[in-house]
Amino acid sequence: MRKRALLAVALLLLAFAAKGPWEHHLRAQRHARRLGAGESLSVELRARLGQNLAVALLSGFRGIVADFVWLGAHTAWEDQKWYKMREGIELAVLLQPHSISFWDIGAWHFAWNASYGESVNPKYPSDAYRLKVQRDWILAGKAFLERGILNNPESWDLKFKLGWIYYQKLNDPLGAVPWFQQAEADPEAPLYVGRMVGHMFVKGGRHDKAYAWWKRLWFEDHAKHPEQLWYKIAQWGREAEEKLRIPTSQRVFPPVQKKSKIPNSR
Amino acid sequence: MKTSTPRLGFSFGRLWTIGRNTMTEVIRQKFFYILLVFGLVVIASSRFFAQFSSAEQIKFIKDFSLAAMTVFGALIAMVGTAELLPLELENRTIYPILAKPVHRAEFLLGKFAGMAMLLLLTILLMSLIFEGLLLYTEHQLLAGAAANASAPGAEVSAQEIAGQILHQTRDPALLKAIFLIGIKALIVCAISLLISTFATSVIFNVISSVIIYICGHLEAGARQASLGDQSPIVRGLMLVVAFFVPDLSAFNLADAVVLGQHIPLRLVANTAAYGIFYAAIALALAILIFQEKEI
Repeated sequence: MRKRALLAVALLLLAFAAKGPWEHHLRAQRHARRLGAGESLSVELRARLGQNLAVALLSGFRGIVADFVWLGAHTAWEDQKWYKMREGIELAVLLQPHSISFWDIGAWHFAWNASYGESVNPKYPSDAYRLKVQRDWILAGKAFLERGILNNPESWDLKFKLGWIYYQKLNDPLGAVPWFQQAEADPEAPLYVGRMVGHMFVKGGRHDKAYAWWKRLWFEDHAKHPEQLWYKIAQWGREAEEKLRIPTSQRVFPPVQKKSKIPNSR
Repeated sequence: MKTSTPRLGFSFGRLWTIGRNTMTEVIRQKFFYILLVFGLVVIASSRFFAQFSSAEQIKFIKDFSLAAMTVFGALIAMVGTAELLPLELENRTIYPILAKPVHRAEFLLGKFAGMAMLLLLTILLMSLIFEGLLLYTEHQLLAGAAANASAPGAEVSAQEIAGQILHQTRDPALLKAIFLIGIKALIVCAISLLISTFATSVIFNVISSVIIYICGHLEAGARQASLGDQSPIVRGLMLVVAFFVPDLSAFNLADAVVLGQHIPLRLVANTAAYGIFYAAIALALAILIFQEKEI
């Protein structure tokens, strides 16, 4: 009886030994797919998080810890404490570098909220200085999104948002084009991303390129994308044709019709 | 003259009966309701973030709900299992059971099966609340999206915005995360059952389970430390941790699911198989100890 028990214990010890390579294999699989494996807690991160959050992090609640840090950054935004907000946002993306919403909303806080807040900050000595600080925050938002894209090269959202900063905050619509085009190339990107490329060409004064772009969209299969705003594309295409004085015989967009009368096919 | 008694075979019927009774017993305990209600409240409280953007709201709901399932699933597994054997001994209900033709292995596995059924029920209930909350949030966000899209000058259709919201709320990958949370709770249950075969008190069992749970998330670090430049004592200690403790961080795929990262089914299946393998080792060890235990 005792012999049998000893044999069973030996077998169990063998089983424990077998779990090591299995764990290693699982870790390697997660690591290869960047699924959070091998993320260690550095001394710096532990110090920045504090004791409680560090313990939560060690217990496997990285998402919740990042959310709490994000809530702190959100409060700092409401209090207009821009540097504290930035610190929180940076820590949140350090914890979850694959969180698209953290990169996206963080950049929006920098380039829109903080930049506007600083542009009307009465504590600064001059308008020129306010303008400089405003621009610094816009560039911080741009740099932040670029880092986000490096961490998440597959995300169309971040590329789209970077294009948006070029267009809205840097007044550089043609600078936005490559980012909108990259975003549009992703099959998961919604259709409005593609339309933004055409708009940027128009805003940048490149009506020839805009026309080519509207044609490209127009010649796509209408039945495949019933949610596409075809009547709007037709309208913008016609505007480009007018602008470029395309001869009537060469025009591709249908003449003006009411929205309700345009069918979803050419 | 030697008399031979017929050898008693293993019976799934008896195991099922013990399991069913175990589940009923634990459901009658106050702690179960307290933990369950706390879990449901935490899940429901994730609606407090309604002032945030749609992406933030959905992320918070998913993070909070999956974390609540993990914590309260593990707590119910720990406390519920830790009480099973001591209660049987204290109430002396174990004696008439073991006096009947019931294998000790059947008894222990029945207890585990009962807890497993209870955990399934608990996680199912929490999942339903979680899903309900997601659908409610989705409904509100879609209504907002429709209003925005119908605003004058809007150049984005409601369908396009709705597509983005639905992509986040109706994510089938959430099932993978919930499934692995369930497997993780089963491992905790098996460990707690193993400890209860030799522990003298429920408190000791629960504290040991909590320590093993935390160590389980540091197992990868312990394995690295056992190979590093630490002192021989530390390295030895780390080696023991890495050898016996399961790597519970392997089950932390919920964060990746929430962030929309693709998790192959093969990885989920492999991780679940690892969890079942570990639970089987723990149960086998528990049976060995329980067979030898004097009751």
